[in-house]
Amino acid sequence: MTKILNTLHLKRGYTLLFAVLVASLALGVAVFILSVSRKQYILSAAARESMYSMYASDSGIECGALDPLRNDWGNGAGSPSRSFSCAGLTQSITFLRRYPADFDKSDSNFDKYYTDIYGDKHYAYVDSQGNTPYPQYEADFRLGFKEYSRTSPTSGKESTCALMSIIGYTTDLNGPDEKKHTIIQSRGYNVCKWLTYGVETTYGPVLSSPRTVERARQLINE
Amino acid sequence: MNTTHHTTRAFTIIETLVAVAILMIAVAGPLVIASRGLRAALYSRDQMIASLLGQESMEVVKNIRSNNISLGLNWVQSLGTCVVTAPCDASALSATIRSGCSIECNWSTGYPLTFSSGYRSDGQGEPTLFRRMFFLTPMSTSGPIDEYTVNVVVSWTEGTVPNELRLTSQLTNSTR
Repeated sequence: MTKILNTLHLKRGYTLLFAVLVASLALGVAVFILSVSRKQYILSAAARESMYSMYASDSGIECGALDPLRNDWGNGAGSPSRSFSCAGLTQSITFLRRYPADFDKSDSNFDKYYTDIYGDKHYAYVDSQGNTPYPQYEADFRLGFKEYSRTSPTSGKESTCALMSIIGYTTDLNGPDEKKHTIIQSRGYNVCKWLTYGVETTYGPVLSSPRTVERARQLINE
Repeated sequence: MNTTHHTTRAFTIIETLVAVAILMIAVAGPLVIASRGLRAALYSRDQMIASLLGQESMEVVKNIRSNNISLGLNWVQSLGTCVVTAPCDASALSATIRSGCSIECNWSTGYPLTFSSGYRSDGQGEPTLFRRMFFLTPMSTSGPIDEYTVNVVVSWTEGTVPNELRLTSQLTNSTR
């Protein structure tokens, strides 16, 4: 009798153990599937956000490639201002002359730069031959873009934005081979909102957001 | 001896009921998680396809603009009539812009896309989940228009849940 009872005691708990094992296995498989799917979702969302940023930077290039900005940034003395309309907004931008002394900061790569009122870094432009031409005329501004739909066909809804830099310089000034060169740089962002910098309020990127993606494009007219 | 044996058997029945209950809860939970995971994977795939379909349409529009300028034509020739009330579709596989949203086209979601050597809006091939359209919004109301906003909309349905991807870019009368 003792033997029978011992055998019954040994068998007790087997079903429960089996249930827990099967449940653990099922849970493990489910968590694995969810983990893979989550990564796929993050990847596809990142691809989508990246595309929004890419078209924001492309929109910036489209605006920068318009004639007033591309070919009319001045020559010689002064800091010319130009008015232009793009993305439903007319704004005036000023081209500032930059000399070596203006690039008064350097980072770990010893590249010289200055920071604008928004806190953005601007490096000295180096041409395809590795030369840094001076003076460089540079205008920095921001563009906000809207999307339109059947429900807002004319007013639109704010979406993406771009940080723009237009750099111009002249080679062989007053010489027989005088030529103007323009470099249009556009950094596009997917997460943007109205931000205040000192007295100026502009529609700019939210750099602190983990969703923010930057895509940049450059149009060189050398 | 009989009493002991009966008590042991009763324990086994209770144990089995507990085990079945645990199994039911423990298997149902993971199944729901796995089902949601698979649904998220399908959504990810469709979202990726929608992103690329939107990009395709946008690039075709920009290519037509560039060709028009380089050929000395009106820079928005064959595009200018694609406005919010009459959307069009541009596909890399079709030589022409699809316009004239008719019976098979829904004005709020666009032209149905089919699949035959790629996604297309000319009706050839097998039907797909996706619909697509684009329209231009002029950025000025007077004088020659040198800028439009291109809006591409790709929509699809997962079960009964409608999804939409919107892509926007400026289009200007400028060369690169």
